[in-house]
Amino acid sequence: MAKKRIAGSGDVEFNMTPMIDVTFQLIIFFIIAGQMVNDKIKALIPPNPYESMAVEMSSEHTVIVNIVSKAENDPDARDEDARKAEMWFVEGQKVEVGKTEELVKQLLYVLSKMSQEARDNPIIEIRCDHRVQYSDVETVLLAARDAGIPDMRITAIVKPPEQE
Amino acid sequence: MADDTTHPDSQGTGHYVSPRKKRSLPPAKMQPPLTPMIDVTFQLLLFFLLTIVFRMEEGMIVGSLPQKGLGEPSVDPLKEPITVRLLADGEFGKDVIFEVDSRSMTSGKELYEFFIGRIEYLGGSTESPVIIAPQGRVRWQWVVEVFNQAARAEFKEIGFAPATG
Repeated sequence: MAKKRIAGSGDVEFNMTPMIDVTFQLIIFFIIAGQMVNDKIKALIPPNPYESMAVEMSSEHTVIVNIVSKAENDPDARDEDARKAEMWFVEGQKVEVGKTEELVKQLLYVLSKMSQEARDNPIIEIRCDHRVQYSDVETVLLAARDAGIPDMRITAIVKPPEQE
Repeated sequence: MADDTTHPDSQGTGHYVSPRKKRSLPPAKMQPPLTPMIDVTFQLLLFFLLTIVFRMEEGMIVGSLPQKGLGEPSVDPLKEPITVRLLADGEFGKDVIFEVDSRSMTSGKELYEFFIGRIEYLGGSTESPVIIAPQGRVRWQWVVEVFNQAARAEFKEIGFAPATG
């Protein structure tokens, strides 16, 4: 009886190269596309008005004030906490809500650090969580006025293209 | 040397191989250990997948603040202001009612249509100042909604009134 020859069991290996390629591509994508939250811009959801008039502008010559909700870690919260401001951030510097004098001082300090050109016509950018109550924002507007800032910009979501 | 006379099989176990046979064997494959690199790469990928937050596209609506020392915003008596009152509504004040004169509205769209109607009534004039008068507990979302609709209707003067109780 003829002996059937069994083929030798060769090494079976996965071809890992394409998988590693794809994985690295994904990592690079996430690194580039992912918005790194910096000190000046806090993670919050600004208002999204109907047919938004918000336009993209450079933040040059602006003093950015972030107003963060007490429920900042829970973007879906709609309760009493979400309505209250946790902290004001003037160019990344924390100011406790309610300390208006400190807020004015901080605004003046930031203005003093600006170039002469920027100081002549400063602009305040109000970047506030959409859930925060008006009374916590009004204080910032009044402080900006007291600091002699004539112009204001309100951060809002730009109209999505599908509405056009 | 023992190492010179062993040759690993497919399981990596070294077996004695005579020097003559060894010469006839194909050279052993050299491959860097990829497993730790793949492990780390997947850890990184998982980290980015779980932590990434895509920011929505943000822009700015331009406005101006009253000058220091001027007190209340000056209103030209010849231009009757349009005062939009914002009243908090719903659980935890998450909704709003916009009130102008005696008319109540609940959406930005309705408010915009009202503004357009008012402009037509005024013969196309957008000189009337719009005063946004929210209750203190009204959410910023709704204040910006009014500001946005007034800007969209091309009103030139838009101001904020102090928060009401």
